Amino acid sequence: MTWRALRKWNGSRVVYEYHYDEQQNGGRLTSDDLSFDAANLPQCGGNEAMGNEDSYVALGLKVWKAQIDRTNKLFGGLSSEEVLREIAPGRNRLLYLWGHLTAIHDAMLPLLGLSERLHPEFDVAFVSNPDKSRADIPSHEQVRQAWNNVNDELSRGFERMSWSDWLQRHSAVSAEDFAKDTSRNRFAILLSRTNHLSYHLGQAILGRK
Amino acid sequence: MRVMEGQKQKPTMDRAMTKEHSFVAGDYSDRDLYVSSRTQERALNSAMVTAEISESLEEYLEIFEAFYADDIEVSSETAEEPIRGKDRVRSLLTTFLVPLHVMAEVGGLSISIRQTAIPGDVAGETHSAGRSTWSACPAGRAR
Repeated sequence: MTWRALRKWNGSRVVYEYHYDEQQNGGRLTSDDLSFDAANLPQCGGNEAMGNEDSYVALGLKVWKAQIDRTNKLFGGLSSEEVLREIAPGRNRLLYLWGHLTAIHDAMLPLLGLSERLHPEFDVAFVSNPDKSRADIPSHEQVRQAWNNVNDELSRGFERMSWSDWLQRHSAVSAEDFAKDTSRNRFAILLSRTNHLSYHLGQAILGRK
Repeated sequence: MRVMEGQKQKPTMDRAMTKEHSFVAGDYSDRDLYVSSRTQERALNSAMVTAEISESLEEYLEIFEAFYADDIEVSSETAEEPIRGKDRVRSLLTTFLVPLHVMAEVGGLSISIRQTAIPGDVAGETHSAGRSTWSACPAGRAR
């Protein structure tokens, strides 16, 4: 796509912008081009040897890691006073959200067959009870340490997992139920927890300032 | 015709940090309007070229906040009526950018942008030519 733009400036600011000579070459991209249907993905960049299954895993893990990095950046830059801010008046505090995410991620370890939980005690403070209902919740530093430990453990576990591992049932579904619905696998856990993380990250951004 | 910026470079943390300060609007009230508008045009083009839609759309919104006036008016050959006011333009821009960001981050949409300045002789007015290339390159396979 090509275009030209006329801009009129008033000092350092644009006060008028006009686009002209717009032209488009080539075909339009459609939803099929961007589909996650691995069988229809176009080949790009010379990784043709990589199988479709690996593409699924790579994509899922890439999105997961991107969200983890964003969460690290957001929460990692907060002071002990700032983590006590509410995301909105009367709603959860940032520390609670961070602890909640830590607890949920910690629970992924046994779900994916990676290890025992590292911080099961977080459930009482951050999952089964609402924010501000208990005085004895883990501190800012304890949450930060736990968040890092849990996600490091997950990262190491992910590196050991092959595509076929991701297709195995997770530990919360019985073999009988899994036989009826094979989508209840470990990869589904990764996708759902990524969505969960994104959801709360969006909330946390509100409490940042 | 002078090429102002090459194709997008792979973003780095250093570049992202310095970029944050690179489009701070300057005060050119005591300088020649012709020169200052071209300087600002270069800065605006450079900021747009280096922003990375697959990383976030906030970069583009920050550029918009830094460079565009509250009473901005935007129009095109294909638009029936101009869009007036920063709030309306920001809203349209956000509506445009959000799906792009999602498609770029998750769906493997790849967008590269080039910007080329076009010489002009009217003080306070600038022209630029833009070219964007869009392709579908799944994230797991892109190099």
